[in-house]
Amino acid sequence: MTGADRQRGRRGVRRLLPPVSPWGLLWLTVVWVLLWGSLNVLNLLGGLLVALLVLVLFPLPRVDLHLRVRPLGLLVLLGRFLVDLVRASVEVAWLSVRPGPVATGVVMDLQLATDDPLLQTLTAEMVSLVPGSVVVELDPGSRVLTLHALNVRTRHQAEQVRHKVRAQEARVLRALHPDPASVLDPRRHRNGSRGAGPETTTTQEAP
Amino acid sequence: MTVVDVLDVLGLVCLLLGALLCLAAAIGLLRFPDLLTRMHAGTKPQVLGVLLVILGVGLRSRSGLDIGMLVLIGLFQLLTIPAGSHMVGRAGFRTGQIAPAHIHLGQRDGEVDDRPEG
Repeated sequence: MTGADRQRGRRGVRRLLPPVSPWGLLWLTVVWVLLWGSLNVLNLLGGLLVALLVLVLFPLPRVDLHLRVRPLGLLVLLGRFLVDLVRASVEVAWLSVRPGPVATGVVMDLQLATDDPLLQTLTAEMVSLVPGSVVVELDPGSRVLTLHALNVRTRHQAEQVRHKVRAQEARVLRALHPDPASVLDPRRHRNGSRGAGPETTTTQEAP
Repeated sequence: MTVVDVLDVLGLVCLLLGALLCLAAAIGLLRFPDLLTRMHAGTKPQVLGVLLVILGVGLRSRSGLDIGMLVLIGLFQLLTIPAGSHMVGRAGFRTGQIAPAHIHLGQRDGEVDDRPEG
């Protein structure tokens, strides 16, 4: 049996099996073992079985990742996120227990720079945990993120929140986007170098 | 004072701080005026509070796979709490639970804020 034969045979077998990602299998098995809290043969086999069942019964759509991880950008992103998380928690905790009138906020819109749904999601999730903002709505097509900003009264403060969210998105892009300059640089942005797709969707913002 | 003592004390401090943050989150949920401001209280101090409690438990238990389980709990908290608050906020927004006075769209994107700082 030649190598080509064997390969064809393996491909034939693979076609019969449902598509199961080995990384998903590994991750779910690790989760199972950690949840049981002890590593033995029974847990390992049980975990593999459960992971296989989950992946076959609830198949997820394939996600095409156009990401390039930059270690330095990722480090900046995570470090800043931790600092922001602590600051946000202390701030909101103080606002909730301080004497006097309670804080209010406003709802506002903001346009994101990227069209990649995964990066938009990451930005939105992180924005929910950093100071001043909670995400209300995200429209991936028009890239409009609606968020609620706490303790904001003036336009200037609203603008500061927008600035913070854009900086957060820029950090996400610098950590994971294959070409952050193409999205972040306003000059290249205006020339339409990002490709044809998103340019056709115009944003209608409420007056 | 041994390393174990230091870890124990650090763990206790983390537990205490985490519990205080969770308390503040609960007070915020009671005191804040509307749905979206409550979501602020329900996400940020809540997440950090839970993370600190987990860290405290981890520092006091110090066994490998237990820590793995705690890391898992923390990770899922970080992933699910923002998504949950987003869903609640969106549902409230779409069903008109937010008073119109609180809606402020502000400047359109692309306009320049030319007022001086401060």
